[in-house]
Amino acid sequence: MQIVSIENLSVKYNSTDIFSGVTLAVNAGDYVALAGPNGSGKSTLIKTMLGLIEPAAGSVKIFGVSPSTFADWQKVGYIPQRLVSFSPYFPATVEEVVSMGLLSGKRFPKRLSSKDNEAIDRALSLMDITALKDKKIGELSGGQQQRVIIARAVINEPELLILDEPTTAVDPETREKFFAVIDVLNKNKNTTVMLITHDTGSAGRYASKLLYFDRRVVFYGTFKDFCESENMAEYFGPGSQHLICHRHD
Amino acid sequence: MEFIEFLNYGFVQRAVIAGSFIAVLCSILGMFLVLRRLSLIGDGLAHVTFGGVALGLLFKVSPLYASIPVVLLGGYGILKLMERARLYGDAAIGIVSAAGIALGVLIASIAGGFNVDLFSYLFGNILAVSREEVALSAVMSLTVLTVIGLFYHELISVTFDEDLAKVSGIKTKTVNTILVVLTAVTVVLAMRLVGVMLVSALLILPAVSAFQAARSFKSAILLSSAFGVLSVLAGIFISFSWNLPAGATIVLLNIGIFCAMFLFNRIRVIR
Repeated sequence: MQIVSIENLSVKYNSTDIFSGVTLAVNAGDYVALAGPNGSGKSTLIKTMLGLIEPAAGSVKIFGVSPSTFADWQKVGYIPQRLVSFSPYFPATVEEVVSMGLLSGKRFPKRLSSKDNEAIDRALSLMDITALKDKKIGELSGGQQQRVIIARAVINEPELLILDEPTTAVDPETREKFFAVIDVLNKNKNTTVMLITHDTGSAGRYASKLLYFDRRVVFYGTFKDFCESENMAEYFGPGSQHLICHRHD
Repeated sequence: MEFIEFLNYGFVQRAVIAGSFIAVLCSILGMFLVLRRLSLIGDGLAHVTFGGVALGLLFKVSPLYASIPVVLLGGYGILKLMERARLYGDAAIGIVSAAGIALGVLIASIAGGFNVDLFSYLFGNILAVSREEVALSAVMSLTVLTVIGLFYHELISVTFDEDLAKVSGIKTKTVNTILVVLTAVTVVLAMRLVGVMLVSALLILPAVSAFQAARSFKSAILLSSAFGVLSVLAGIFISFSWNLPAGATIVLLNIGIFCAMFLFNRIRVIR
């Protein structure tokens, strides 16, 4: 089953092409590492998939539906690179922020059940932030805030998890724990994962596929195929290709 | 004069009732505006109110009623400038605010210059609030508070992060429209209290004072409302006792509360 399907997609910003003619599909249970140089349009690609950016041409479908008409957002978890409009004075506690992920899918009056409270405790414990439960989010470090956002995204156990460089601000120990959690969701719950990362070494240990994007799809396939591809050796130069594959091995 | 004796006057009772409703309304709505960096939308829409009041005076319609559609139009203009012209909030507010003031001055000039009525709307006079205005304030405040209650979670989510809210399935454009409409109605209601010139203070100050001490969103709402009501009640009492302008007194009391809360927060952090 295709979870994401993109056909001939083009995105422009002020009449300048960010990318054009992109076609790809992500199947249920895939774990795709999305890599590419800075400014290559990786974040724009996933924001277009999520309906946050309007495409100039082509089509995007998630779970077979265009993002503009898609309604079942509880199936999707998203962790942005950084919060766009978050104010440091925001007076919510960590618990209140994590619970937002659950309340969005509820009807009025939006109340948390005891089952929801257990899910919140589980998500907090998973990201090792139980002790911060009653702290104000604005008082936390960047890394701690990112762990809260990750907990908020995984609390619903989404079917599609989209992550934009989620571990840039977190320490190595938390990063390893995070990748292990995502791996469990992917393997045990068949969660489809799309992960933007520059750390192809770490991602390669878990991801089943590599999508190398540079304003177009340069490569999309398994890590094994990437490492054996002569075209990629030519594109990257043997040294760079070896670097990704060596770290992957 | 004692506070209880002071409450025996009919005009004071009207001021206290209307003031309390509008203070709670401004304090809660202001939290969302401040956190979304739209604090000055109150100021911008208040300037548009000036145009609405002038229009009302020109056509001999109640300035309160004349202002509501004009301010709603101003709020819609700010939203569209942000969405369509991709302007930042401050630039969009600046454009609409300037248009409102220019409209007001032009109409006042056509009508034969500024008069006492127009100045009463510029600086407010809560002690001159009529029974009709009290009823309107109460009904509109309860309506706005009900809408905030219905969309409470959506408003918090969009305020926290618009992209995350959108990916949670929240219709962020609808929530933004609701926020601007509520602000427009609130600005018109608050105009009689503190006047066009000071209305944004009532939206900003109780909220920023509450943020100094609040430990959660719910406690921030309670604190902000308490500061808003306290400043209005004390402002009415002080202005009546010492014959001071009510609007300015209320605003200065709010600044005093903010300074006290800021110091309280600093001391708490140092300890």
